[in-house]
Amino acid sequence: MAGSLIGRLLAAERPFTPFESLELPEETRRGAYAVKCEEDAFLLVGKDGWRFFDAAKGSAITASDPLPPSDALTGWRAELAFAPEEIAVCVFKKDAILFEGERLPVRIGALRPGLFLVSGAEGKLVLILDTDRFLFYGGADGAPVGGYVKNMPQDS
Amino acid sequence: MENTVKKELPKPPVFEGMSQYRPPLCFELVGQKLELCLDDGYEYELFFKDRKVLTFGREDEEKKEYAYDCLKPEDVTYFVNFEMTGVTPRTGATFVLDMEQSLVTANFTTIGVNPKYPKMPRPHIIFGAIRKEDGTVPTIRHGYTADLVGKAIHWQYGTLAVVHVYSSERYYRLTIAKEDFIGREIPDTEEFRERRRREMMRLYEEPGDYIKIKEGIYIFNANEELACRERGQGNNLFFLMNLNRMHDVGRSFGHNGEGKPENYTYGAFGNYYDASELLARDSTEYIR
Repeated sequence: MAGSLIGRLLAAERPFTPFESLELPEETRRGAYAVKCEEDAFLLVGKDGWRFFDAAKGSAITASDPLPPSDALTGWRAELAFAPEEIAVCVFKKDAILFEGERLPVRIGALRPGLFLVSGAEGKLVLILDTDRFLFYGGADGAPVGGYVKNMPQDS
Repeated sequence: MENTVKKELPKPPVFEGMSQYRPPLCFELVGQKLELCLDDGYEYELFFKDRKVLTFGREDEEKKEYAYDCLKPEDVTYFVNFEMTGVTPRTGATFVLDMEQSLVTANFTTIGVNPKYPKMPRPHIIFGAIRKEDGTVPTIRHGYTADLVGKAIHWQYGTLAVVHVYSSERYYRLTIAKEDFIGREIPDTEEFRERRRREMMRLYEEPGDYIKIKEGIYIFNANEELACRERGQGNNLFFLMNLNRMHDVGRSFGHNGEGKPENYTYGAFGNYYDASELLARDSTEYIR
């Protein structure tokens, strides 16, 4: 089910792949691709899964860690632009994303004000949504992805 | 059943100018001291003291502290921007630090040097190199390029979308897109029609510079001189573009809409745009 979104994210030509942060050299040496999401927050993406690292707290969250659910995004219809001609229109439900007629089961949690984590597909899909700047960062089957979020009229 | 109660869904707050899509600031250079050998004949020291403050000055002079922003649109190319506060005329300093080739391109833009247009920015671009750990200094330089001539890119800054049309080696044009990135028509608003009408009468064209850093990485320096002559103020916009990933970062140095000094950084996502119609037209602003 989540394969179609992951497939779309991975198949893009000239994707808006976020640059690799070199601020966590030990993680980089271990083979993780570090994506800077905020000044003190990083998403580490690799073949063995993903980790969200909160440098301010010195704590990390992985796909198997508990995360208090958030319904702040429930009902939100947003466009994730991840390459020049690639936009994924997603509707966020309490525990799923509706994407191209499919319901992708995910968990959605608040990491901090304005920063949300969406994960699913047994750890293969992760999205960090910055709802202040309307940017997103993520991992799809171990590959870093990212781009901008376009707000859509919610009644459409 | 889904919850149908109306609630507040995400909405971006107001950011300065075009800065909504600016990526997080980069702190990778903190603690590093770079020796910049610029082709103005001087050597400079740039020391990143912490995440907010750097010191800068000529090697043989006292260094001063400045608040800075560092961004990167590419893994090892950095965009460093600060205003040299306390200096007359007002001076903005921007460095593109290319750590792969140990090269630097600097832009010192001054404002207040034009007697007729006191808010006219005057960019001064200087090439140079970064002294390597072994003490050597590369002799090659970043250079002006014609690679972008005839191309156009539709940039999304969040609150602003604009098409930069790289019309010649010395000039650029601006237009607004008729379609978004995936070919959907932009809503036909009154403002949109008015801008189109004005564009049919005259082109918006300004002087620009194009500099190649390396494959796919370019500087675009845009100076709003026409805007300054007509409206009394215009800014210097300095972009560092990664066309391999269609990102840019940059800064605006000049004055904001209220006429107050501004110097802020921004970021955007882009897509190539067919501006052949606009490119085919003769300039209405410059004889050439």
